[in-house]
Amino acid sequence: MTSVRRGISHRVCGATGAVLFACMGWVGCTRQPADERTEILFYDHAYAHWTRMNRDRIALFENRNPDVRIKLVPGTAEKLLGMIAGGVPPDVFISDTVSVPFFARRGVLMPLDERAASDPELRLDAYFDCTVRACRHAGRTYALPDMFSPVCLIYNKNLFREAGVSPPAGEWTWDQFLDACKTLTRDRDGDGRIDQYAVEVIWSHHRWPIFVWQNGGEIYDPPSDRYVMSSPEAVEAIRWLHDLVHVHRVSPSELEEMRGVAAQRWDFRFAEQRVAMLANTRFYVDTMRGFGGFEVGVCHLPRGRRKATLMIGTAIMIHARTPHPEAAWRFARFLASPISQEMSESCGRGLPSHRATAERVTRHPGLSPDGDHVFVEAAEYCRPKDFEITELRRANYDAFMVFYRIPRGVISPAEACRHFDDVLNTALRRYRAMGGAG
Amino acid sequence: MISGQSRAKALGVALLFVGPNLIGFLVFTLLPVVAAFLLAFCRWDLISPPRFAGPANLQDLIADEKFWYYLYNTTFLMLGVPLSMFGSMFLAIVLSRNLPGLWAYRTAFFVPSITTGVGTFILWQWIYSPDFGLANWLIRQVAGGLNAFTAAVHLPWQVHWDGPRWLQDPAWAKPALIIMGLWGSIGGTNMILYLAALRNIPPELYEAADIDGAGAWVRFRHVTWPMLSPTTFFILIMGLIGGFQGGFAMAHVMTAGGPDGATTTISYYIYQYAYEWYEMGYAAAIALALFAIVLIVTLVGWRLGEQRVHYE
Repeated sequence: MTSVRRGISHRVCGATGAVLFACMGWVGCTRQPADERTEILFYDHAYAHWTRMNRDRIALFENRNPDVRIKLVPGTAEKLLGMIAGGVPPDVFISDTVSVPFFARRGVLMPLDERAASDPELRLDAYFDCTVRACRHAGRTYALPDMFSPVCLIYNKNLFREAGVSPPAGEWTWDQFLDACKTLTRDRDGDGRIDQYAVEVIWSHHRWPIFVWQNGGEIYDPPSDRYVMSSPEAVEAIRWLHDLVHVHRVSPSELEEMRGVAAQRWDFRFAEQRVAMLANTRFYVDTMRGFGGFEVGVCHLPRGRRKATLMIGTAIMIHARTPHPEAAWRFARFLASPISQEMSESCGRGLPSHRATAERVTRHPGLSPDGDHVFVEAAEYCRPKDFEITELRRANYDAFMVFYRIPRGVISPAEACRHFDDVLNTALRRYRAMGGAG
Repeated sequence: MISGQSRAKALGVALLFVGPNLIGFLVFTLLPVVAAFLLAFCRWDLISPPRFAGPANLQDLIADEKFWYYLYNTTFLMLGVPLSMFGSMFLAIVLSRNLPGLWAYRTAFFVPSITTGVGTFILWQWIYSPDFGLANWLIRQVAGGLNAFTAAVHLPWQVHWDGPRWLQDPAWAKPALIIMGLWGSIGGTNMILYLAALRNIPPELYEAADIDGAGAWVRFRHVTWPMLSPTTFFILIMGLIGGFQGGFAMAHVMTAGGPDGATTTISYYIYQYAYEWYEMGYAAAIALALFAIVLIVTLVGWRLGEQRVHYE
């Protein structure tokens, strides 16, 4: 009996070994001949159409640089972080400009000043100034500008025509904007309920800071190293937004959240022609082109005491410890080049940071939206999100979330601003006490 | 008598079979568990080296109001566990009868539990859409029907039901998620477990009850319920453990933890700290607290179960 059992176990072991051996042999047979090219690991966000576009531009780069092979690693922000933390970082990666200081302070990024200055194929002054500034930290350049967009006002031209409102030809003031809003807000079926609102007030920290800046306020004051949202200018700006919802009733008052259902809601409302205006970026234009039934235009946001808007964008970074700095630089420079940015733009990644390319792609005759070049004009006065210290992520979240309570009437604008300052100044003091920079 | 050489050979063969699983367990389970325990006493942003912080994370956690609120959310959402359990039991009892087309019913009830989670969540997002969703459409239809009825019989009452704002209203968001969870879980694995358990109840017990003149309720109360108690106990314990660990996917896909944190659970809070705010140490401290809570609840459940569960 024992010998039978032993025989079976030997046969099983033998069979397992044979299978493993066969697998190894198969792997060996199918291995490609040794590739002499330098391999560059490239990370980018994993949206399907971005990945397809990335493959195209990788093919173009490899065609021009036969000694380099690019391995694309599409993924999420968590994946990028995991790769860096796990010691297998990508050589070149694209990420939000807000992460530039965070990575730079931790020695993750290669400083690029010398290469940028000595490379005849790259001129940083050909890029929008705001995008170049967003790539700098502590006086050094740590990234190359990628795609970006200022926040502008997107509007439904049909609803404007129906209401007899002329879209602004150039600049317009908050008062002019409010007058237009009052005309655009309508009870279309006469049932006593508003079914067409003028504007969507989005309580995201990608929107309300614009109006604080426009009103002469600041969110963070670098000289005093304090958050200053309790200033009269800032509170007044937030109250103005609040009043659009609760006093003038030109914006829907429903609760909004950052993602999920509510994020779709303002999309739906604009697509369903229930809201006439929306402050948004050029990243949204690609989605918007899918809407049927109405024409879309772009204009400047109304200005308060001064012109201001926010810039959202991405940057191209090189890992500080890449074993192939020269090849990585060549690829990063290619990604920032006009042809690569034009390919990127064609799949809805906003506006090229290369000025001439941006001007060219926004002047396609007859292509929606009308007034696309306004994004280029707004790039001259937009600001990066320089108030966000990335190390204070948790406090940032708590502070930003408080503004979502305003449309529900749970908190007043002044209380929200005070809460914002309290949360962030407390976190900032603690961070500084631990030796935190930024 | 097995010789030392044979014993060693047998051990080698055994290790060969156990090896893949053992290595997987060591690398992907034990090591992360130990690392998470150690990280709970460190500050680590994933990129800089971890710094020892002593019990600071745990002290902060005790004073963290959000942690307690999210623990409340998690516990509230677990109200779905007994509801789902009794629903599964009811369904199993109904489906254990000889109904025509039984296989079709069983399949129909089981299908939601094998549907991909994300797909289900997006479907329910649409159902709960305040303006276009099926849920509020039904409510408005019912209101319309009532109004037509009251008008027909010349009653002065009219109702104006628009339906709640479901996932956008802090008061309704949690009940909305519980309802969605019930849809997926009542006809799922628990129903199958109950069906199997019902088949194992000896028919003599029912015959004896019939002879004693027991009605349907008495048969259920004194035969079915006690005989199902081991299954009920198993489902309850697994439900509690799963409940404490659950809610991440729903929050991530449907609500981002909102509105106003109303659907943030402990597991989503861990994710936020780890991957949105890069505070791995604090995230590990929350995970450690969650482990302690699950352990205590399971032990208490086990102790109570020993007294109340009827094993044949």
